Amino acid sequence: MWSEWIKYPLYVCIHPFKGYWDVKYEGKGKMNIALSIVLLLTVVIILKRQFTGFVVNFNNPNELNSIDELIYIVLPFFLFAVSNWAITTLMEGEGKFQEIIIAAAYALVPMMIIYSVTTVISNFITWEEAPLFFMLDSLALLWFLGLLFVGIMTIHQYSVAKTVATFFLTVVVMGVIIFLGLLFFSLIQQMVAFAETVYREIVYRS
Amino acid sequence: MKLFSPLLCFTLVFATVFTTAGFKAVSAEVPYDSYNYSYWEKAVPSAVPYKPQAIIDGRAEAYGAFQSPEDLFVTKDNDIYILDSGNNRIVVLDEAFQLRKVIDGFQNGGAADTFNNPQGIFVTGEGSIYVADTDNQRVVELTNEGELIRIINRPESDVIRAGFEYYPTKIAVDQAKRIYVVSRGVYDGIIEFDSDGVFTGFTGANKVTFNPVDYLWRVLATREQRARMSLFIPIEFNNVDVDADGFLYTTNSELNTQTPIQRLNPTGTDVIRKEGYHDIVGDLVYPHTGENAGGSTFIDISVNEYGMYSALDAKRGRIFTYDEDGNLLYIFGQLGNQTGTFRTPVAIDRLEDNILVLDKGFHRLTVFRPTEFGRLVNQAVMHYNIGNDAISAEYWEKVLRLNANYDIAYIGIGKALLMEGKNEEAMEYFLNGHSRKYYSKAYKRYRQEVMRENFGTIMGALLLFPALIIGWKAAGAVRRRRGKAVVE
Repeated sequence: MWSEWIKYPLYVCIHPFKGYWDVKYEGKGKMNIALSIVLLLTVVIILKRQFTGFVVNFNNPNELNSIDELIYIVLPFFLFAVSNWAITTLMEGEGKFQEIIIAAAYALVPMMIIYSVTTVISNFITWEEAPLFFMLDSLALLWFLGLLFVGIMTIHQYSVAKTVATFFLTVVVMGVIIFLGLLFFSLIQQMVAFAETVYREIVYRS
Repeated sequence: MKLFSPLLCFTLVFATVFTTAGFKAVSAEVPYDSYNYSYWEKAVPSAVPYKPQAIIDGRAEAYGAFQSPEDLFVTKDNDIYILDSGNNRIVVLDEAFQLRKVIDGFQNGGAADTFNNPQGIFVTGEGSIYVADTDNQRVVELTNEGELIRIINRPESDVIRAGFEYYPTKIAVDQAKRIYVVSRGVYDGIIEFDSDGVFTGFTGANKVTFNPVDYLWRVLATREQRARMSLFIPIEFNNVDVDADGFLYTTNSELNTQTPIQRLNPTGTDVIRKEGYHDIVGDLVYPHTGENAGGSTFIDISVNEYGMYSALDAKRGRIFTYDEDGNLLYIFGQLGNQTGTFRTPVAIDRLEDNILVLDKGFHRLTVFRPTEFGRLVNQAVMHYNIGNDAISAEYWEKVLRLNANYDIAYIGIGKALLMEGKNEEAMEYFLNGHSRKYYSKAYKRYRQEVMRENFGTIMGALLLFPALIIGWKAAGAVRRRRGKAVVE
């Protein structure tokens, strides 16, 4: 339990090549752990927005919304997973959908840890020390991107160049999915509005 | 009907009470809403800072009605000079708005001379009157009695480009008697004359600005098309005021500029302080389309001896007052047809604590008197400027009682507390005032204070913690060995 839930995700952060290899071939990663990480990160980011120290917190407390955070983190996560899966199945990637989710979620671990640490220390810093805070936050982001890259590369058994190309295509596909989603909603809206108008006309005339 | 009548009675009584109360209130009401911008760039209601007190239009006076007056100047002795452009005269009033004199012409080399649509006036500390005699294309200096001292004609120099048109509209004179003239159609900057009336150069030319799309079109256009396009030229200044230290406060009417108000130092560089939350641009929220689209268009500015400056927005008839750091203190005024509103406001000046606004469209001068709120803010800013932080904080406390959302007041009190060394309280106030810079300062001191007081505890904990861990591990090792021994 300890080893699986705490130790192994941390091990992946520090030894990504070996870690992700074991995820793929030794069945080390777990789906429920992955989903817990995403959920926990969401919580951490909600707390970060609210409780970062005043000196470096530029959020308007009147406009903070936890549901929005869910949308900004969980939705892109699954959007990425689906897009990446869609692209890599066409490009001879060896990873399964489940492995993509595990790889992406485990990559979020350093972000989760660093963000919770910076949220705490931000309450004890002055403006002169703020660069440290911003540096740590950027480090978290870079670490995440690095892990994601290695993870996807290992899961699909790609070369570096091919991984870069799939990342680019994944972003394009994410855009396409969002576009289609919006189109779909907009069309449904129009149809509902049309049906409603017809109904109103009939009700008023009879 | 029985059920009806008490209700009707009540309504009637209520209506009567309401209307009479309403009538009484009208005299005390102001014809505009007051608001200010919060830290989050939202327009929030605020207490009214200034109320219209009197209207001066000369209609019932011996000197007769004003006709399209263009400029206004209040001297240190509280004499009010009104440049009554339509009548080509200067009307001088004392601080009680009683006539002192009228200057409608002067003797020029034996012949009588008059102004021709003059648009700018400035009176020096010694009482010399400078008039920008616009359509005569000259600047006239008169003694306080209206005797001609000299005439300064159009500047002559090699640096002046061909096709230079000289129509002086606004004028200011600094302590060293240097003369600064704003002229219609001159985009080279403010025309500067030395004390002898000799042209010395242009100062503070606005930078040329253009948007990338326009630039792209220009690059793509053919030579013929380009020749027909409008030139990228800097926007001209439209007014100038000078403060006690010789800095020039200027306004310009460029659309959507970030620097409609500039404070120019002697080398012509903008040195206005922008310590406030927002850019010094007047309205932050405004319609982007329609008849009244666009931000504030400043037409005049008045700076007082405490570094506070009020700028007049001609587009919406509002007066924005900032302190020396660029904090927006209060906003009032409106275009309209009621007493206390404007049609075409053109000039603003201060008479002690009162603000005078000259309206060209209504041919009248409106006097605004500070309300209690306005007076307290002015006092607080004044005391802060002269270094009485503690007294300033007292006034800010009173301001907060009238307007609890007044962020600048929190910062003011916080600064005073910080001076007294009450760091923790100061932090609280800076937090309310959204001042990260000062909060950080206060926090730094507070942290130091706490660290010093608890030095022993903190160091003790730092030493004890590793000791505990080592002890725990050692104990564990011992236990394990014993366990092994038992197994064996």
